[in-house]
Amino acid sequence: MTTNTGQAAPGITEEQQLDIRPKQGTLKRIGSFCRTKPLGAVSAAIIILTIFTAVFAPVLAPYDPLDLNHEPFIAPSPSAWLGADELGRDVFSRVIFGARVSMYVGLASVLIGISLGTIIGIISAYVGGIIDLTIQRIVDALMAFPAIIMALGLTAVLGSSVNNIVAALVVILLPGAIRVIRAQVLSIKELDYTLAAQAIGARPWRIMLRHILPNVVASYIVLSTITLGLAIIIEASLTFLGVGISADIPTWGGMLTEGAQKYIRTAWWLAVFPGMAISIVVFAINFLGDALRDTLDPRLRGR
Amino acid sequence: MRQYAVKRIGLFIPTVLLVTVIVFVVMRLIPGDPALAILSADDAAYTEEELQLLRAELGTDRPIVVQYVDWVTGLVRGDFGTSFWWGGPVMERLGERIPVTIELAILGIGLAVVCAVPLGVLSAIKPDSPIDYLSRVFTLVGISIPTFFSGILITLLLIRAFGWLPPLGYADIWEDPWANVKQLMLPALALGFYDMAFIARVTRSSMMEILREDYMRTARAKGLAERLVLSRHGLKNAVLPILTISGWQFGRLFGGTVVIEKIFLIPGVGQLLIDAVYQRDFPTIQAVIVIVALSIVVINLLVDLLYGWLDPRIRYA
Repeated sequence: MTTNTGQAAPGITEEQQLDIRPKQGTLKRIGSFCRTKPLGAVSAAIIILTIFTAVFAPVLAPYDPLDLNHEPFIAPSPSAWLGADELGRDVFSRVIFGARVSMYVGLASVLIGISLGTIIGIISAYVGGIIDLTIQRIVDALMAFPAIIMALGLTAVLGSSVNNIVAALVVILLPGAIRVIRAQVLSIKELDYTLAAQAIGARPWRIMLRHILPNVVASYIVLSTITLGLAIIIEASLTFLGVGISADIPTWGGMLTEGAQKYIRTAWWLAVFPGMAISIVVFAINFLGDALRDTLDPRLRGR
Repeated sequence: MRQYAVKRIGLFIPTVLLVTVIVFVVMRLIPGDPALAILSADDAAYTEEELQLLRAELGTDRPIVVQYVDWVTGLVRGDFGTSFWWGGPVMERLGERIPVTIELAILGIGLAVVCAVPLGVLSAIKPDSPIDYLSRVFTLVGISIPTFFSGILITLLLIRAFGWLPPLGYADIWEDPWANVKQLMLPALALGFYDMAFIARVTRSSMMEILREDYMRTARAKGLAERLVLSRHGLKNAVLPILTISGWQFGRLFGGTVVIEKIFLIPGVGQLLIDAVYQRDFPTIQAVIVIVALSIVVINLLVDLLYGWLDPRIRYA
């Protein structure tokens, strides 16, 4: 990537260049990110808070999410902050516990899917030839399946445990990641430092690992952030459709299923709060993704 | 143009074949095999003999390549196999559902484009104005709200604000066109909401790029009215990426219909797919997935050809 050489690439302003100067300390870089992208920083805080909530759900939730602690259909009140559902379960506690599944499924599938996609993308672009051609045709074909339909098909076949949903999401996230990383490696491959490494006789795997991989890290981070929102939405949609995670586990998608829809005239809080939880988290993720893209990788802008 | 078309169609054929292979392979991932899945469905007891018999009946005892070729030649003839659930040809029920979903998708993308393009253009010609800021927030919110939640929110809004809920269900467009459109309007709005946001974003960025072009300055310099500069020189050139994205999103919409059809009780392909997943009716699942994927491949091909026809630069790239 040209931005690592320390010289301003055309089209990149002075400020952005300072942000990505490798000598800057991590803390300083975070500080300057907060200053230039305040909304991005707020979004990052929301995401960290959600992960924190997910991890410490049992401590934070006022009630057990599965116990019938209230009368059914209590409206939001001081004793039940976000009301109670048709069985009398505490909506606030269920929203807190719902963060667990969403965050686990989202983070796991993005970590596996984008990492795998990056590896395949690098190999596809660097090796080229028949391997590249084959991989790209498979990517083309995989991209023809709308995410939710692919997910439905895969969970129908694999069964709908949490880990099978992660597996389905990995298949869904792979083609996009391969395509973006490949496009980037195709240009890195022609840069002087890659050619220099080839000239001194470095082995292909060494060039891919030591010279190309570090230069797609920015794209890796941006891709992971952007696809995290997609992964969370798909998991919630599957559970909403009743083919995702079993109803015994509190999930945001599950809370929005038929019950919430059936009682929407009388008990709006059943649908609105879990829906808001998903929307706020995904909104924060998208905003952070945009901000990170502007800071780390100006070339991806506008995509 | 012919060369470009040949090249693009050359890429299209292997993609189509690979799509069928992927669907076929995925459906074979079932632990055990379909026969086992049917027999062990309700933990029912079965004998080895029954299993062999059912395998022979379903044709799953033949070599995998033979099964694949058999299935693909069936596809070409419009034969999608026999439903496990109700025993009739899959195509019979699928055929009734396809027009419903296509209508919903067309309404959805239509609404999205009609609202998104003016929004994107306004936002681009007045960057950092209140309109731009509002539209940017709106588009970011739009791509963050999952389809099923925007569907529920729209229903809630109507009940709360107007005390009115449109009749759920579905009236045939040929029998009662007015009732049909009334029923599909809201689902289409919920369906197109995400795409509206997405297309508005693309419109804004492509319009902003074009506003900086030399020919825009020239058009203004020669004294052309601003309205004409924007419509004839600006939007006309910005339309290409908008068109491409809309075409792609149209394909994607088939995914969104699954959720929307479930919320608004519309008897389309999506409902059929969800029911088939509940019923573990694999031939139907397979048929729906392959039809959707192939439609998207065809739509993408058409969009690419159209793009090449409209913009000569693409042809010679």
